[in-house]
Amino acid sequence: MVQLCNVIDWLSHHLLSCPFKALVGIDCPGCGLQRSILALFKGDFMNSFKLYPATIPLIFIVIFTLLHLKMEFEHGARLIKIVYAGVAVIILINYIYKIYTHQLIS
Amino acid sequence: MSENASNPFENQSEKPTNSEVTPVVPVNNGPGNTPPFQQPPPFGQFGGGMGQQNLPNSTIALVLGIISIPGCCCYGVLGLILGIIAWILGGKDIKQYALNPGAYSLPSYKNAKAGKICGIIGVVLSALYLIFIIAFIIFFGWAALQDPELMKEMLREKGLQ
Repeated sequence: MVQLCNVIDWLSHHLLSCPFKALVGIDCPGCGLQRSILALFKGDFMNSFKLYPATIPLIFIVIFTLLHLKMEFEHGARLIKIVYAGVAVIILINYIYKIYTHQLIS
Repeated sequence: MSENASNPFENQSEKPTNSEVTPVVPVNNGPGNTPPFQQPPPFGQFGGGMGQQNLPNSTIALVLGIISIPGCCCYGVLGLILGIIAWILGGKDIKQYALNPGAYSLPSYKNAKAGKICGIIGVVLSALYLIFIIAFIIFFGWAALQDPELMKEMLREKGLQ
């Protein structure tokens, strides 16, 4: 448990910085994903959702795709398509919401 | 033609099928010979089941299509490239399946289709983001983007923040 905490702590100090944000100073549609994943590791679902709402479905779809490629579920491909479209919509809405609430420049 | 008319009866009685086949094929060679080679696919349609191979690019298309969404955060370019690759590979596999439905397995066809759609979504998302960046640059100018302070000033002037 202590080791896991150390790993998370180390990760939180070594996040990849967004090239677009470094250049321009505005958040990109993917900004917040890493912080959100870290919050998820810590078990803080609420915070994770606030930082980046698409994290949980995104992780779900990646894991599900790996399982699907291994085991070939009957309606797997259709489910992937639906969840994927949902993720895209969530990212889009999240970005528009950020623009309207002036969270892009921080 | 006169030889052909007389030959079949003699051939059947005297020799086994070997010599009978050779004279018939050159006569029918033109249009009549091709359909038999195209007919095998329907075979598989009804038979289905085992022995079908997976489409060659379906897995890659699906994986690339899914990676294209997280990739859209890097300037939108990475997502665009991955999405387009997934789109092309998926589309190619769908065409391949349509040409010869019996030879490939249905799950891999579904995967290819899902990969193509994921690729399209990734491309659209990345393209929207790129358009947004370009519009931003046109709107505020390159100099403002280089300098965050100037940027905030300009945003304040426009009443956006």
